[in-house]
Amino acid sequence: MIDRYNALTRTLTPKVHEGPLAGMTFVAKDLFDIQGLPTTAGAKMRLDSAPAAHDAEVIARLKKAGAALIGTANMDEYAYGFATVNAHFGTTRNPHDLARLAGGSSGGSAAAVAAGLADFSLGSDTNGSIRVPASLCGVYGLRPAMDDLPMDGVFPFVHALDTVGPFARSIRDLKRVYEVMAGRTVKSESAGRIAVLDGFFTRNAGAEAREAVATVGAHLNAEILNLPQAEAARSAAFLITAAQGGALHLDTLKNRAMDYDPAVRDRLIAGAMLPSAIYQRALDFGAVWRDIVAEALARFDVLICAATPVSAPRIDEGTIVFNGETVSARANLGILAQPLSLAGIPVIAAPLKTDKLPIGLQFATAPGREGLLFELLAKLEADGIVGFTAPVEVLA
Amino acid sequence: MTEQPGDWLDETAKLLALDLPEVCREGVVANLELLARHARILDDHLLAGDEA
Repeated sequence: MIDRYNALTRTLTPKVHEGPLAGMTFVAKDLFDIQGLPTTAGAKMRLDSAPAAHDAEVIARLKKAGAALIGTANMDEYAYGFATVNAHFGTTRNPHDLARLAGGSSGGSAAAVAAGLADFSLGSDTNGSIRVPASLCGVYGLRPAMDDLPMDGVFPFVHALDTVGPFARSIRDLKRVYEVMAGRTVKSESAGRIAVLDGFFTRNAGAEAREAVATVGAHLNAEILNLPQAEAARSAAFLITAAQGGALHLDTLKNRAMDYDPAVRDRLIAGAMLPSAIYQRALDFGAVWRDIVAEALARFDVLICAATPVSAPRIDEGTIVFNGETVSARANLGILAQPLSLAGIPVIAAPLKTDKLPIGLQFATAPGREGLLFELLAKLEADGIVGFTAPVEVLA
Repeated sequence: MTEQPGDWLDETAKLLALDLPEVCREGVVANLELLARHARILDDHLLAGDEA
């Protein structure tokens, strides 16, 4: 079914014969400017906004490299969510089980790649919005280092944490697309010392996530590393997101509060009300945390942990269970991603090779050493430890 | 005079020149409580660092 759909898509899209991505199709989360279309950022109120005058910079680079943009993808409103449950445009379903969440906020992009609707896709990642849906949909997703990829023409959310990146079904494709987006070839490097993150990253992982990490850790003979301030880092990321997101939306909240998804609106208002002393403490801690992580990455080449605490929750259940607690799914799916967001380092979410529900792992390294991750993951893919598994029923 | 939680909410909304619809109040209070929990977590870690 996937092969027939891809063949049909290729027939309908313009053929471009030049460039490193010639013949490849992609979709983009609907917060990238596309010339001639309004950029909704998942918000119904933006359907009537002025069409974008130009493509976002990364879109332009991908088109120039020969890739064909075939659509835009659903997202949580204004990227403020981990579920892609959108009050206006609907909930994106997981191609591996349509009764389950795809994750968010780039859920549409991840699902499109998992379902074989496009060769790759674009998302954004502030607190985990590429890594969470990559994990739940069983595809590769890359959150680049802060300021690595251009953000021109991308609807913002949290300027201290916003990045954009690709999803793909293979590590080879992920690398090809990333190199075009970055405008450079990745330097090849082999990983020496590898550590699995313990403490916070184990406490807040469910059984299947811990098992996935143990499988990879054993295969790589990884050491164990505890970063005791990870819980504080998560909270700092949460507070920075609330404050900056709230400030960004304050003027629109004054005029159009009732046009928002209610779940997003109330979070934004609360963020706008956050006392500045708390916001400043979170920012200050962010600098401390980045030093802690840099020190860890001076000792180890790659750090590994689970990408999500659980595999995809059911859409009709609002909660997930881990660490002995039942908690909100939407608020906690990104718990393991947020500390690494605040660190500002490049992270690839890679799917464990499994015939059960997908679950992903995060592989992180220092900025500029992305080649380490691509080489390590190519080896793990060849060894059958990580890799994409096509959904059993797609477009049935 | 004893200040009620709603007073703080109203005063802060006024400071921000934000007209806070009644339907939002419960959700905003719940989210502020969540932010307060995160602020306490940050405080606990930072204060533990001071003592070390």
